[in-house]
Amino acid sequence: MKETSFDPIDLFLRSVREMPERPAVHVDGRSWTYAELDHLSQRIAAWCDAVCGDEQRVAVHGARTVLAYAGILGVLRSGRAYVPLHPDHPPLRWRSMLTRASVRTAIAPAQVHAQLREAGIDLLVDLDGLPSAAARSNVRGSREAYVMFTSGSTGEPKGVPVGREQVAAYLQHVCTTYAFSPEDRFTQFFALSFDLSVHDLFVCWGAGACLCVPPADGALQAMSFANEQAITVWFSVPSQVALLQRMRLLRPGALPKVRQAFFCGEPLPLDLARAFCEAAPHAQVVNLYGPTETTIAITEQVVGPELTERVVPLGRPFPGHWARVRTGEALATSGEGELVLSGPQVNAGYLGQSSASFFEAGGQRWYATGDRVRMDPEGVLHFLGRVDEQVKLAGHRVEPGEIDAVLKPMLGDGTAVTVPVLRAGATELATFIDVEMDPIPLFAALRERLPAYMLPSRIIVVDRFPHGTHGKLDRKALIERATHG
Amino acid sequence: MDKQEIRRLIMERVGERSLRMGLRPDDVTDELDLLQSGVLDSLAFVDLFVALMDATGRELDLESALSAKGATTIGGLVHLFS
Repeated sequence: MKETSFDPIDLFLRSVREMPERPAVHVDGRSWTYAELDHLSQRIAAWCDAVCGDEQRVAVHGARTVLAYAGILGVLRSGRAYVPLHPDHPPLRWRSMLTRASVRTAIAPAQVHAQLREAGIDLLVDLDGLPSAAARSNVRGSREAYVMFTSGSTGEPKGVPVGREQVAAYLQHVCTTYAFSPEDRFTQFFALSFDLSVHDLFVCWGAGACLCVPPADGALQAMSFANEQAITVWFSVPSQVALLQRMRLLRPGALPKVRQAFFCGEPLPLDLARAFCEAAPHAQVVNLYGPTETTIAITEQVVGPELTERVVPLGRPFPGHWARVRTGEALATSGEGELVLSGPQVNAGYLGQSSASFFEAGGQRWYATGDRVRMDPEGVLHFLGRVDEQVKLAGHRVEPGEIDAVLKPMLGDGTAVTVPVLRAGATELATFIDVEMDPIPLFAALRERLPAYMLPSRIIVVDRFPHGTHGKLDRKALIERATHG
Repeated sequence: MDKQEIRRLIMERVGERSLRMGLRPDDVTDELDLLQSGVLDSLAFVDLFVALMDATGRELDLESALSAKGATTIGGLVHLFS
């Protein structure tokens, strides 16, 4: 018997064959069938073949239109990898990413072509410019599926190339562990530049289900969106549900049709998970965890009645993967330490830079997550914090050092230090500087290079930075001052 | 609560954050759209909305309130709660 393939394009094409007339995506006010999305993505693949030559990566502008969804499919079908660009990120950031990934071509709406040219793109196409003839169905070219960028502590975003085999390993686990059907309607909350969107697209299309895309500014209308679209499969960061709770919309029975829910990207508080279970009484709720480097998610924990801790555990690694806790050189199967992961979903490394985060031990390749965990005797992982300064803001990884590095050239002899601050239950950033300066031009420089979620709420001037007994910068004192000062 | 008090409550939460979008206090007018300008993210906006509900004792459905034109401007919020 032929082994089932979980390659993302093979999954999509199977649904095209089996249910061509069913809706594949609802976006921008209309539905597109599998047959329509198939045809559109073949035209994009034909365009890629015609213009890309040997180039293995194509940028896809992540505006929420059918072009982006067909674009991702088309790039993959042409045997290339896609590099998603967040529509709200500044062109200077796009430029940095595109340069690092050696991308010269992009699929994007016409109204952003001029901006993309400034960011270094030579060849662009919108829906209107596509060839009419469809090309080929699925070429096995690049081993890479996409390149996603995360915050880098040295001041530039860090590219993570993710392999098609790694994506297939993820899809195999999720598509066979959880039951989905063509009747399902999936949320597509995640930005396409966030790797959790890959789950949205390909788990949905693998099931022959409909992907429901809310408008870009729809965070506050998520509840009415979910009910209008009759959502059955929910996937978001926990803070999206916390927002609904603050809006007093997460009432018991508020999401009656949802039958499967996933959370990922940040710690899931147990009381929030329980409130969601009451709002969606027919749903199985699952907490997923995994850095981009290990492909979408790699551990899982079903939220059941037995859980008692304040935060839902990260759970156990997917079958065929290994999790260990590292203290010094030693890798242990229980206790506290840095979580390290191994297995088929672990990627090769970063774009154009080596990193000690990827290492070999015991004949296996491992990725060190930087997350501090406790592994209990049953092998269940519990999140404790970070081993470094990285901060999570609504699921986004932020290296405070990246913000400080952008400010540094403007401060003369001065220094910037950014710290996370907990205010009214939400984490935000505060940046301290040790020179007297007008904050307006500093914020302008940050806005030119960083996404909005990385902007600190405040810039605070101090005479000098506090230091501990060993001369080390006392971040705790800064956090204390930003919280109460 | 009168309009002045509501505006003061809004400015308490907006003033500091508007700096990061390049707006000095004098630039912050009633027409400023708090969400579109990026001065507040959706979480901070919801917090402001809830604080206004608590302060005025008015219980409004945020989702339907937002569908009104200009509801996310400072002037729109003042109008909504006064």
